[in-house]
Amino acid sequence: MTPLQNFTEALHLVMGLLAVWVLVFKLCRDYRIDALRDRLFALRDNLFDYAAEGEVQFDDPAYFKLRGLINSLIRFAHRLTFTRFLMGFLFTAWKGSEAYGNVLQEWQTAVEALPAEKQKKLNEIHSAALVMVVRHLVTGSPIMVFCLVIFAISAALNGLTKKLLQSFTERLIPQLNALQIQAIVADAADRQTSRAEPVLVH
Amino acid sequence: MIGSIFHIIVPWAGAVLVAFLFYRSVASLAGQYTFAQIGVGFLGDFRISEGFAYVFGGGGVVYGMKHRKLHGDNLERMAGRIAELEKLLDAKRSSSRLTPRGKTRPEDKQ
Repeated sequence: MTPLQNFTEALHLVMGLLAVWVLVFKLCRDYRIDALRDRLFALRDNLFDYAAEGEVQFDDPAYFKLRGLINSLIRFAHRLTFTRFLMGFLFTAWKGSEAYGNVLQEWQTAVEALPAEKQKKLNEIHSAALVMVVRHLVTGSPIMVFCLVIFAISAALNGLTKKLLQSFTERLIPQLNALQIQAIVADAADRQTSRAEPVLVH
Repeated sequence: MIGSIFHIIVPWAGAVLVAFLFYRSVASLAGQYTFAQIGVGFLGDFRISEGFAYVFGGGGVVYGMKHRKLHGDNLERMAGRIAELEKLLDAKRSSSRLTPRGKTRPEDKQ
């Protein structure tokens, strides 16, 4: 391969890398923000419909504070990144959650004043918004994707191990019954013989 | 603040790395070839399969951007009407404070 051929190969590589750079840092980033905003708008519409049906008043703090929260998430969706999440996590660990004021507490108090089924609905909308944000954070960070995969594998293994142990235990119940009876009989016999002896305290 | 800095450093570090690779490949040819030779060499090295790949990639980007514009136009047309109708029921209706096309306002970018 001549130096000129090497150079043209390198030029193709650089063009490809530039295209990938634009795709990752501009187009994909903009799409992810727009997609999150769209989902949050749909959720805000659900909340509005719920209030329009008369289930909750438009001037109830439980409604307008939740709407305000969703609006804030929509407005600052471009700031919802893993780095900021990490900084917030460290800041909260350092200063405590009181550092962020009691905005969420005020909303929670307003929700608690509503009947149970309305509380459930508003909490569901709030949780759905948080799930959207977490999904956005996870899909936007290779580190978070890795953490999620590790968590999923460990949760699956944990669940699988529990299920295996449970079904194995069910199969062994006759043998286990014998074992339990032996233990009970031995304990009863021991208690009979040790009645006259002093009581041992552990 | 730290988050913003990090989000500026990471992409631009990638861009600088690409520029550096390009510079190194050009520097290795300094004094050996003219720009015309390099241009002819580059075009001569172009394979049809690569050409289709570039057309496919570029076409995909153009398609995506056209669709994005359509989405913005649609949002601009509908959002005002929806807000007006919702205000009939909720006079104190709060807004997300995005631009009419659903984009971040310049003053919110940092």
